[in-house]
Amino acid sequence: MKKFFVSIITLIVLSFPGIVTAETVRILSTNDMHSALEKMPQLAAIVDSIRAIDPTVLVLSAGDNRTGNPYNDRYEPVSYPMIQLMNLIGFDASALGNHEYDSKVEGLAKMTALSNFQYLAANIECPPETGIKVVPYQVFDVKGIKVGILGITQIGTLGIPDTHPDNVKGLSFQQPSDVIPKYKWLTDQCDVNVLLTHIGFENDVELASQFPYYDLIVSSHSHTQLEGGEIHNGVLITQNGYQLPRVTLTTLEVENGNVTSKKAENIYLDKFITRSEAATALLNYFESSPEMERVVGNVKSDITSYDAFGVMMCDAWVSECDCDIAIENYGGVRYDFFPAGPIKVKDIYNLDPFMNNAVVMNITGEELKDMLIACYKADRNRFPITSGCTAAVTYKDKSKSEIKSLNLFDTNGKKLDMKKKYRVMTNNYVASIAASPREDEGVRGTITTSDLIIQWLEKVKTVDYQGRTSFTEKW
Amino acid sequence: MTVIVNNYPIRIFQGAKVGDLVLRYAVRNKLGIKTINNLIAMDRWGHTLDNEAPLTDKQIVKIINS
Repeated sequence: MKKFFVSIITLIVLSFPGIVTAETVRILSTNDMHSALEKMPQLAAIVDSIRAIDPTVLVLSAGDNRTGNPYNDRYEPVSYPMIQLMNLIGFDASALGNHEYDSKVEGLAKMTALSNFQYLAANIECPPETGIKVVPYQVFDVKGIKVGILGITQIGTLGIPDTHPDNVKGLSFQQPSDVIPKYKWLTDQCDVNVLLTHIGFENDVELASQFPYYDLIVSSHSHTQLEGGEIHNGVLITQNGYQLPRVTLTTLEVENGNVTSKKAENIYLDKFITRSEAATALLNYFESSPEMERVVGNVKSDITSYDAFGVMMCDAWVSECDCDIAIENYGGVRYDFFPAGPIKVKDIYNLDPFMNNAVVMNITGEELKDMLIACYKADRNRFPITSGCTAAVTYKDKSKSEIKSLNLFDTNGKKLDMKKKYRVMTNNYVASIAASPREDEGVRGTITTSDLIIQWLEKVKTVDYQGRTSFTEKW
Repeated sequence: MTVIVNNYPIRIFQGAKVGDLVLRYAVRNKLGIKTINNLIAMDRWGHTLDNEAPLTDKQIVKIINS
């Protein structure tokens, strides 16, 4: 079977004219891998197969290699598993995605130091004291052909990458279209010119219209699923979804220093059943990480209901997000029993397994009330759990299918001021389904709600939530 | 921020992803949350967008029920 799949790769690679000649440049590219550790043995096998035919193939990532799997993102040093697997595969370069900044400057410095490949970003300035190893571009000699690759990192509406502003303190960024013209000289010196970007497909189409002297844009960030690649204004753009459903093999034919043809096609990972043994062994090692077994707190007495766990989760979020009130949908709590004793990292991921992020908003008591009712309706008529306020819910009848009245109280038992603004935190699921009108829709952060609970438990150490609830019901 | 879905504006929190928008769209259109697995989001070019794809203000998205 392995031979069969190697044959498929062989057919793909050999299906172009000029078989492994000095005029053929091949690039295998990934984007938005987001800690897809489990896919790396297949990716490694694909790369090995292509290298067996063309050892000069360049392997590129367009960024967001991390964030999406706690086995990678909670590792110390952070993202070490992903980096080691990328090192094993032999990546040649990576763009900096906005999630590469999620562990602050210190985390990024460690990541770049541990990587055997170079990070490319022309529109970032990193002072030397940050320790971040990043260069604007890299030139590869592929069988005598000069391949110049210019990196571009993502910039959002705040003028920084889409991450918490604290994560990029001390770094400065420039708009891609301001920076790229400064490297026109590089394109004059190279035979093949590539932009390795993390700015999203739509912005890459715009770059293609502004800078048609690039041959290829290896795109990322928008998780766009292309069928191979698309030509826009003469520039080939490739991008391939999220968490490695496929990788892109781009083949460029070069004659007398000019690219005469270019083509990109997808290789499906799930159809490629061969797995690299070395990458599998490395993956198994990382997946047996002791981090998941680490005790983060102690439960004083048995917790015996979803309500009690929900209140604990909301207390954690109020504390960690510095909020007045937190909301969790009833269906979002996945434990209704936990025995007294130690609670581990893996328990928190089972309690809150959705990899949701916090959404923080400033809303009035009236808007909060409407939001709770909207959440109840969308969450199959189950009233949400809160911290920082309690609720007295009266239903029209025993079926609980309609709320007749709802009264909210502050932590002192006084009625909540309906006109006052409160800083409210919830997860992105509740913020989405609770579609009641409110002036401030809030901001979704990058830390997961489960990681907020872990952070909080590490501080409070012992919790006692037996019998706790945040609302009363009658009809 | 505001995302244009099937030619209509939908307000949603900053930093929302496609999955958040699909949920909001389903609730607003009373489709029920269970139907979200049948909803497919696409960009203005017709490319499929996965639920983790980031959104930007004024972005144009098409959502269809498969």
